[in-house]
Amino acid sequence: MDRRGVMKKSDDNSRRQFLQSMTAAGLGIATSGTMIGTAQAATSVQPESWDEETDVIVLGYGAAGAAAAITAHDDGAQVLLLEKQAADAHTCNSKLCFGVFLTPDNKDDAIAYMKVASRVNVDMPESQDIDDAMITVWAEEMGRNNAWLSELGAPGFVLFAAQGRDANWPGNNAIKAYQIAGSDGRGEVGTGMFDFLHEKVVGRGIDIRWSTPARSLVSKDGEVVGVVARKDGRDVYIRARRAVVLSTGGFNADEKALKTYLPAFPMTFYGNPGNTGDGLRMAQALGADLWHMTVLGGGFKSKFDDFPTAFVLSFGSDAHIVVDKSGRRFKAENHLGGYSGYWNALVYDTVANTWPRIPSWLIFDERRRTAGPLTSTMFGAAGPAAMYEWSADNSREIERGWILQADSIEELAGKMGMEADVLTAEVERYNGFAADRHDADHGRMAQQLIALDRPPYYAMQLLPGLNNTFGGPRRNARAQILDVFGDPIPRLYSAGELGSLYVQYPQGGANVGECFAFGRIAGRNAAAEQA
Amino acid sequence: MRLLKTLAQAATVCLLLQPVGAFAFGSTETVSSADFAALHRYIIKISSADATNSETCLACHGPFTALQQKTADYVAPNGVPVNPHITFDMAMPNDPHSSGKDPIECTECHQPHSIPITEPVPPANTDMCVACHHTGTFRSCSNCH
Repeated sequence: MDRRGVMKKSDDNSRRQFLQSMTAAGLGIATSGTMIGTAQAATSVQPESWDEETDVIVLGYGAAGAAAAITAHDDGAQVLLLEKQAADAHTCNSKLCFGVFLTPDNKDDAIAYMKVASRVNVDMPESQDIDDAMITVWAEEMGRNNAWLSELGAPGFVLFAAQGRDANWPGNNAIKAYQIAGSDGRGEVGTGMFDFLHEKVVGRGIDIRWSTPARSLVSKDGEVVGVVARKDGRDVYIRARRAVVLSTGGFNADEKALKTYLPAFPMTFYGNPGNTGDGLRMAQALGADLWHMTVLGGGFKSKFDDFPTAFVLSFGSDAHIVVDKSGRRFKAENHLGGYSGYWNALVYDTVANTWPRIPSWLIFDERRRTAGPLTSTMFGAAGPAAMYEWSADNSREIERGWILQADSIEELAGKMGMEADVLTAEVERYNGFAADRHDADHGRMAQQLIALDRPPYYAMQLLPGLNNTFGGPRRNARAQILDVFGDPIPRLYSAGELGSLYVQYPQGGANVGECFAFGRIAGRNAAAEQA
Repeated sequence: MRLLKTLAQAATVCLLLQPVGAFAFGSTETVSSADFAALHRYIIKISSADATNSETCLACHGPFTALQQKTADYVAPNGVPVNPHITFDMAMPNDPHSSGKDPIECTECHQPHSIPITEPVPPANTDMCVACHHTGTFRSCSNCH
């Protein structure tokens, strides 16, 4: 410890004790239900002085962090935003996504819809997994998303989704999702959407600290009172006079958490490689309860060992099929997309003790190769975030070995490690369906039945591919993080996909919409705490 | 499925259409011989027609261009204005609506009704549209993909 009672960078034993004390602080609340043990433990690690202080500290700068920072600032709080990535390497999920946000038409329909979308099993009302108060607040606050953006100066909106995911869910037609209108009349994708928010944050003079990861929360008497951050090789102690907001994103890049919480491996994500579950652990250390750890949304994506994140696929309308690792089709390819599509990969062979669809393979021919990139260049890693430039004819990805090429289906099967006879027979059968315009096996839509008959042939590996994780610390309708007994951890809030409220993903834009809505709620309530 | 299987059914149609006015028997002031002949040609035509064939539907409800004009102001159940009477050219999977060829079969969205109509006709659905336009905006696929 240095003279302030704060451990130094080099003092590993002290750091370990410090972290143990902090963990004990959280567990103290959990086990004793009193503030005594917590206070003692927390007091023992309080710095004698802080390096700096502010009213509200927001950890993590994506759409949620931006919304929280803007709102807390506008409510009169001094705000400090900490972001662990560098400004020129900032790849938050909000920037990688399509920039869509959900704004329901009206509260009543939104509540009716979410009453179904909040069920673990949509057929069973008793499986609703968030309380009615949360659903009501969600419906009210999400309904204000467009108005809030307009107040910030958004020039207009482009309708992205005119309905929810399921016509059988009540209120479906009121579930609308939008993008901010761009200058060309098209909607802004994630980069443009985030640029808009960033401009508002900067315009308010909100202090953004890039390359400054938060390491720990500091609590005293059970209340969160500050943050230990790392800047330029040293720990920095920052006091939060009012509150801390966790908006650090999910755990899509935390291998340990993925193995712990997800049902299969590998399950891959196209999101920020920096989403390593930091906020999850910081909240856990203070005794936070967790929820929605297994909730996911996505379909199939491609991930390669020499690139840090998965790619969003663009199957296109030219000839292609999807087969399992034995070479057999298993589903109408037009039904592999959507936010529940990944379930199609999660079929376990209980006799062979294997996942027959992990990996699956996208098989296509020369027409598809030359028709355009196999990934979306509108968003994701190969979009405007410019993490990777995917070649227009997919040739660079063939050279890299991401796409396998062969002159015949037999040869292609060999490269994938499949029995050639199985794949050859499957392709011949599929080509017969294409000729008949009728898929007798899986009912693929007729307009997608295009024969695979133009060599060379290609294959690209597919994995169950998600957009982001939803799990994290449980929050209440005031965006407070709750401990394992359901009590709010004082002065600790969350927003965004870290501990998202969703059970079934409601529709495209629900995550960003939640970032906005709960970013505002968290920012409002954090600013309202007594300094 | 044939709409009218017997001459008796065709005769029933004549009798039911009679009071409507346009082709009323015995009302020589309003029905020309040409109209009368046209009606009979039509009845003969639908007597042997296949109700799952759009041509059958368009014999009364067409021509297709007229249908398109009638539904120019249609608003889908989700509130989005869209003309549902479009063409779908299977030869152009990347741009299926632009060639103007090949109307979608009526029965993809509508249920054929009997003649005469004896039961309420169920409303059409947009399931076929949203099979591709899954976000319900009816914008081009290339807006997002």
